[in-house]
Order: sequence, then structure tokens, then C-alpha cells
Amino acid sequence: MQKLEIDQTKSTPFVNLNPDTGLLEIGGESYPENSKEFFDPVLEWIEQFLSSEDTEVTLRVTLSYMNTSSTKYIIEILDRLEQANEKGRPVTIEWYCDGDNDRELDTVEELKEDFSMPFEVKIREA
Amino acid sequence: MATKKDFSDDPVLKWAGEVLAEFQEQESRGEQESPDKENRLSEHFLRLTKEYERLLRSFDHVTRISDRYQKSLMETNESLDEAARRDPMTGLSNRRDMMERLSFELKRASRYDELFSVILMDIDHFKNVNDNHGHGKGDEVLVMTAKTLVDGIRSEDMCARWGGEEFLVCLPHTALDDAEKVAEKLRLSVASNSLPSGKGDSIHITISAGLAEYVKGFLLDDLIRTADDSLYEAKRLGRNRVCKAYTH
Repeated sequence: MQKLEIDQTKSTPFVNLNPDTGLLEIGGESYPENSKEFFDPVLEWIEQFLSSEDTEVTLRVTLSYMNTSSTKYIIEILDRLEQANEKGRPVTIEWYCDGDNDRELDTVEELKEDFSMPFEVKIREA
Repeated sequence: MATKKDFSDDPVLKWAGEVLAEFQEQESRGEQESPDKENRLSEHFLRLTKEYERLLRSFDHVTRISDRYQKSLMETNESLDEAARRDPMTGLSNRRDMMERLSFELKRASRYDELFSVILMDIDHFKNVNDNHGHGKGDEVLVMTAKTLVDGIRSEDMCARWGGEEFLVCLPHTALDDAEKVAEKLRLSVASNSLPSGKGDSIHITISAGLAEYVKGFLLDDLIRTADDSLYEAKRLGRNRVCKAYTH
């Protein structure tokens, strides 16, 4: 499988999906004009990766802003990973939060509670 | 620590639970017409219910995460708006904020036939402070003067840093003669202040002030120009004084 690398723009996050290391990174700010157009290839890549390889997976989220439709896609990605994890695929989520923002930490802690896969809430360096 | 959200109140999930219970009861009582078909149906129904619950949870997260970002954006907006109105050094309103206030006062005065006045002030020989004591001391003088002015006005009045060493005070419901008393008081307060120069002596400053009162038909420019003319007069007459221009 090929890597999927998308550079960060003003309104779209950077994406680094590496099938060899199993590290899936997404970070920056996400408010694309067309979220579907942006996230569909990402979701498609992840689905293919989950069904064809058996590498250990780490999803590292370092997003500092997401609009509503991007949030929907990120949750969708988490759901796919959770399903793969339930079927035995080793998966770890690393979600980086702004340390100065308690509200962000609370929301991610809540999100974490809904998943049974390993979910680490970390503090993002400024 | 956050706990997993409970969706047992959701009407669709409640209904689905009842349907599934009915399936199970029929099965246990051996009342199924064609068990294979019904068991398969029950399985599909269970999967559908699980998918529905997953969507419900995901929707709940999406809305909550979105709300949180929206709140953050609103807060950022507020602080940007606040920053855009304030002079960072003195903490006073900046010229832009004062212009808005003056427009508001002008409209109010013209509509309800009310009075208001402004005082335009300038620190005398401010360049000398910078030249003799350095820009750091110059900044301290500005901060000290700003504080003196704010302390000397009423809460409904407004003081802004109008320019480099210029300040403007807006006095709602105030006639020219009363504004003159305020300006005189402010001039004296500033003149009685001093700041240690750091070289053993003290820095003393004075201000010149020009007054203007709103006159019916005045535009903002007319008001500012009148105050500016009065200030020019105060400077011309030797500084450290208050001058007013009667415009009616």
C-alpha cells in the first residue's frame, strides 16, 4: 500500500498515513469548503489499510480546530478503528489537546469513554 | 472523570428494546411461526439497533465537540474585539473605540437635543521626556497620565488615547463650562504628578487641553476640529492651560 500524504493548508489539516509503521497522523485546522471531498479519500485509505494489512495502528490526532462536518468524519474514523480493534487489530488513539483549555480536555475525555480501544489523551505542546 | 453517556431515554432505543424482548419471548414460548426466518430477522434487527445507537453516540459527540469549538471561537472573537478597541500600553480605549462612542453621543445629542462636550489633551513637550529620559520613561509617563485622567472622570465619561501623546475625554450630558471645570481639574492632577527619573530627580509633566461642545448640526469632524483649535490656542498661549472655543 502507498502512503497517503496531504499537506496542510489554511483550511485543511495535514494527513500522514503510513502503512509501514501503522502511524496515522492528522493535525492542524480543519474547516474544508467540502469536507466530503477532503475526507472521503482518507476514509477510503483507512478502510483499505484496515482490511488488507495487519500492522499495529496508531492514530495521532493533533487538530486544534475542526468544523462540524470534519468532526463527523473524525468520529467516523474512530468508529472504523474501534470496529477493527474489536476484531483483534491492535489500535491506539493518541489525542492531543491544548493544555490551557479545560473544556477541550473534558470533551475528549468524554469521547474516550465511548471507546474500548486504548485511547490516550495527551497535552499538545504550544 | 467522564462517564459513558446513557441513551436509555431515547424513544427509538426503547421501542427497539421492546421489539427484541418480544422476539425473545416468542422464541422461549415456542410461538415462532418459522423460527429460522424469525431468528434471522431478530439478528438483523439487533444489528440495526446497534448501528442506530452508534450513530446516536456519534451525533452526540459531533454536536458537543462542535459546540465547544463554537464557544472557543466566540471567546476568541470577543477578545479580538476587545483588543481592537484598546490601546495596549495604557489600557485606555483607542481612537477607533472613541470614534464609535463619539458617533453614538452625536446621534443621541442630535436626536434628543442633549449636550455633550469633549476635551482634547496633549502632553506638553513630550518629546523632551523621550529625549532626556529615554522611551521607557516616556512610556511610563503615558501610563501614569492615562491613569490620572481615568481617575479624574466619572464612570459614564470615557477617556481614550487619541494619538501618540494625545488623549481625548468624552463627557456626555456636559455643557462647556462644566467640561472646563473637569479639564482644569485634570490639568492640575497631571501637573501635581511626578515620576522618578531613575537618575535621582523626578519627571514632571503638564498638559494642554482644548474643549469643544456639541452644537446642533455638528458633524464629528466639526467637533474634533473645534477641540483641536482650542488645544492649539492653549499651546499658543504658553501650554499647561485649558482653552475653550465658543461655537454658538
